[in-house]
Amino acid sequence: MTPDEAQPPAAKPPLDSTAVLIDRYRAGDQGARDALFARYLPVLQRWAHGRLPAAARNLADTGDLVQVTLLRALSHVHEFDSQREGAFLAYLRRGLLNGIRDQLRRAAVRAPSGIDPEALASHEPSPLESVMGAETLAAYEAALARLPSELQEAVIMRVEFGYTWPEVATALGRPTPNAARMLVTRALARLAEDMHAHRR
Amino acid sequence: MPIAGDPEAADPRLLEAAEAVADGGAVDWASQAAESPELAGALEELQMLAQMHGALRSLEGDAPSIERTVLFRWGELEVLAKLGEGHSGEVWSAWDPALEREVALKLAHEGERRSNALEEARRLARVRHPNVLAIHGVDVRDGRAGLWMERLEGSTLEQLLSSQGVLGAREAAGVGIELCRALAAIHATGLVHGDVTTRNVMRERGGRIVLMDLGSGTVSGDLAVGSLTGTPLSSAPELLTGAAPDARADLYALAVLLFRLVTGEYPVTADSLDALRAAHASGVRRSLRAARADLPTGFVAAVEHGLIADPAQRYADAGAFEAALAEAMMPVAAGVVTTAPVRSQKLQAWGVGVLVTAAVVAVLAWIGRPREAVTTSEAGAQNPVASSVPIPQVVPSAPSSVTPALPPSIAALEFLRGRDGTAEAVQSGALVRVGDELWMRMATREAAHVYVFNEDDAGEVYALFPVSGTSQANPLEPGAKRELPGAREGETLHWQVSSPAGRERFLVIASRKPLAAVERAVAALSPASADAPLTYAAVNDTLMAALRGVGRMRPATPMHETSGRLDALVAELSMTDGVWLRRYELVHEVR
Repeated sequence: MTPDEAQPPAAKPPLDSTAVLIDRYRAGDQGARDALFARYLPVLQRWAHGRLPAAARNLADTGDLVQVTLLRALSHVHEFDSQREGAFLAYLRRGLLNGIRDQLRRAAVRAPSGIDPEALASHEPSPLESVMGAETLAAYEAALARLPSELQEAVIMRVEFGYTWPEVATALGRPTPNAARMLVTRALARLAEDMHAHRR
Repeated sequence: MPIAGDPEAADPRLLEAAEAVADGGAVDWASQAAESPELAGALEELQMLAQMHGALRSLEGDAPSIERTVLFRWGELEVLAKLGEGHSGEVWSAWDPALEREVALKLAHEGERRSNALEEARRLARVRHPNVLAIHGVDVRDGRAGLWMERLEGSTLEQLLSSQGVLGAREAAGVGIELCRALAAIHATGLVHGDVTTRNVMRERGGRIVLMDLGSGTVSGDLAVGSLTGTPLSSAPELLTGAAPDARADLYALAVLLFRLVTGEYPVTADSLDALRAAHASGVRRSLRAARADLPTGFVAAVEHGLIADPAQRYADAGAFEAALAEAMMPVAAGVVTTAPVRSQKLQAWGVGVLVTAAVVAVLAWIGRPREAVTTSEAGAQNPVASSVPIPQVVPSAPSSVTPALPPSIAALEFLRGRDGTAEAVQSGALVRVGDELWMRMATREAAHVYVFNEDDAGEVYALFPVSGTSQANPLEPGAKRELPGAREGETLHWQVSSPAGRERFLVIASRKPLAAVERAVAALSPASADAPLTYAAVNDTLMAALRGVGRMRPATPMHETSGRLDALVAELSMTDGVWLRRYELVHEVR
């Protein structure tokens, strides 16, 4: 048993109220928006920390970018119809990833003429790219996109956002932390197999 | 209906590694890859995911607001603490504000020829490989040349050797394979490492093997740099007499490293350089076989080949050494027909029991037609590898339903293969691959004693049924169809093909009466219990002799022939009243 497992899901904050908060926000409750902000802003800021290259950090503070992304995501929240916390987090992640790519493109546009924006982006690796390599990260993103949505969410929550097992269980509607653990385990194995199959 | 609960369940070994990654735990990647070469690619990707998991946690932890005591600055880097000092410079931990992470900074001693150090470091920075320490940058700041690189947390192989003792062959081979890959990447850039020793290899917490200290790296064949930059006891003999360093010298040093990992000693020792040269010249060195009699012959041969004094006779490149190590360990991996690394918790979660076979020819035997139905498989009939033992009568195998080939006492018999969520009755000649599940469904019209064996490509025979602690036991009661090997704690168990082989063979014996010698042998072999993973035990020669003693005796068939042991058993049992036999041979897919 891992330390995470020793803690029952009920002991954590009521993450399953995300769907309720979204519904309240859709109905015009600004307090619900603030609650969603308070919940997800630090999570997304931590996530974005390793994803922005130095050049982009000079142009926009990570916190600003995350706030803008979160606002934009919430303004389109009517497009989001899942009741799963994990699906909402994946939705925010997608928005933030697009936001980061936009920032990189803008940075490249403002670069001296003649510099290929893609090249500029590729020459300014993020901390995560420095560790993993751009090619591996691209292979990971592509393989992740090919996974069923629930497995995608399992990987994102555990590997990228560092959620504990009780949190993953709650967010993905799994009965126990161990069930969440098994889901993440299967998702990782499939991801690895898929990455290998597509790189051959 | 999924066979295994999850229609797309991955290999249990891959799942076990994935579970460790999910938990943030350590995985011995080298050993895993060595034990499961068919999974090496997926394991490599999984290792990448583990690194990403760790890196993200590390990046989260490296919050910019954390206060650090900065000893001094070297360019943009904030130098935090001294980690060590070597002959070519000092190593510091430093904070890289651009990467927002801690790095290791190696600063050349003042007075070190900057142009040489920079040129070499720039070349080394081009080496990008998971098993080579990553260089982040090279520069001269404040008059000192330096390079900064990833900071590792773990132990050197030398430290592990001191704290945990010598390694086994499989683990050492796994380390060797990863280091071969590292050296291949270095050699591909035209460089040689120059100092491959246990002190310069780190095993990270997650199990990654990393070749470090590239400061000795030189251009291959570059005499001007000086030939003896590494540790003398690990140096190839030609370097001691002034030859230029090259890839083969690195491979010699790797062979010394492996020798040391499994013995704790160097193959050639001396008190001085002159004595060392003399020792090499006289050809005096320790024999690995003499030092470790228990090591597999293939591993010993692979290492000894790397230690040949004449560089032209050694491995041509790192790839050849890697292939030799992998090949040396293959029989070990393929021959392991013991417990799958699966815990009961997983069995419950996946809804399937996973058993390991390596194996074999299936010989099914039924009660009812004495002396009649020893069956050669269709594949066996076409294939010269199949039985060389005289078979009394050839009967077509009947795997899926009641057929005329079944004896009166057998109502139904199916030999099933589970793959990709579907179950299919198979006959001899059917293809199988690693991950396939196999089981039997059988109904008898009278009580039957059934025994299942298999044989792998190496000629080893294993007992698969009956297995204590499962729902099925001898005698099988007549009536409803029963699945073999049965269930345990409510979970259906299947045999699973877990390692690549040429053929998978099953042997099942059935008898109206218990076969006492077989019973005793199986009881002695089966250590499985209700609360432990199922294990199949190898049938050794003594037990094989006992098995062949069932019924009437005939001269034993010589046992040294691969794939001949079960044939001998079949021949013996076919002479026994009330015993029925049939054989299947399944063939591994070549992908």
